[in-house]
Amino acid sequence: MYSLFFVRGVYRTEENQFLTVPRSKLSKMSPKMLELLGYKKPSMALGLVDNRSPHEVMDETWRRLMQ
Amino acid sequence: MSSPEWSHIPAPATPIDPSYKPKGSIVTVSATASVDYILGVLARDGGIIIKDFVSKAKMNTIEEEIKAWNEQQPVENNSSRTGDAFHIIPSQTILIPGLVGKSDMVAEICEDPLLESLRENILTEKYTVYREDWVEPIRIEPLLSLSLSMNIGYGAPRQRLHRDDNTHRIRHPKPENWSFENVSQFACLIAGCDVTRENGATMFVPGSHKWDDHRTATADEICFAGKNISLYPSDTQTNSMHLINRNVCRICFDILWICFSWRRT
Repeated sequence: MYSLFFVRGVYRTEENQFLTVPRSKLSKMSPKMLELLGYKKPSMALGLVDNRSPHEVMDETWRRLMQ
Repeated sequence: MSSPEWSHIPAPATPIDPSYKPKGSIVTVSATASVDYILGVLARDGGIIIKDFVSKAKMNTIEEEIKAWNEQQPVENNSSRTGDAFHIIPSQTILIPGLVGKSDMVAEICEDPLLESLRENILTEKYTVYREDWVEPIRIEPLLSLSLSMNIGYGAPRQRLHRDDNTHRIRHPKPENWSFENVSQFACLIAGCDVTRENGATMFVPGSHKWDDHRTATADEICFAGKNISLYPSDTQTNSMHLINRNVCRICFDILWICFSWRRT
């Protein structure tokens, strides 16, 4: 059985999607899938990186995190 | 004096008597059913079976994509079982977490128009914030909480009836106050084989998504999400339960009441 659980965007996800899905996969994923994984900031300030939506600063953020 | 031994892992649940006859059943529709129809059934029952939601060809693709992970994890040496996150899932089950990162087809299914529409209708937050003279329409899109393959081995006991939204400590209002506004999540459970009561179809209690926190489900209220189901999104919230099995899908609901630190940062 393949299970897909979706939650309202105000909740913490059961899996930590940022550490679960490999970066090599992320680069090929659609904007919708990135949104589902939390890489897009909604209207409110949720999931920010450097005050911005993560999808706008992914490459530079990865570089910094790997230092 | 030593304290009594205690474990948060309970003994296996008592099997359902083979002579048990469910009083109700779960509605099955085709994948061409309208979203409004599906929403109507979900609002009433909390779960629905959508036949042939995923084609056989796509199912074969998924199986091929995750084959390596299935083979890496024999039941008796299954690394996914080393954690205690899913202690309520029988140990005979092979779990493959992070499924969307391992199967492109599963990721593609996440974007299926039906699932997208259900997310839009059930889980998307749309509201307006007022700050003095400033009016700001807000939209918060849903998230993927968990993508997980569950291959349940022979002889596994059933899970006890439970509500998946207990994870977020959702408070449930009185039945007469229920609405989709109260739903915190839903699940799409895709059956990887023909599912029957005998081989472990998911069990759930129709209508239990509307129950408040003073009522818990008992085994004599169960329905089985059999048979020959391709996909069965059912209501999560509804105290749903799984049996021995392999495959089935349900959609889960739950109610959002008050939130504390389990919310997103």
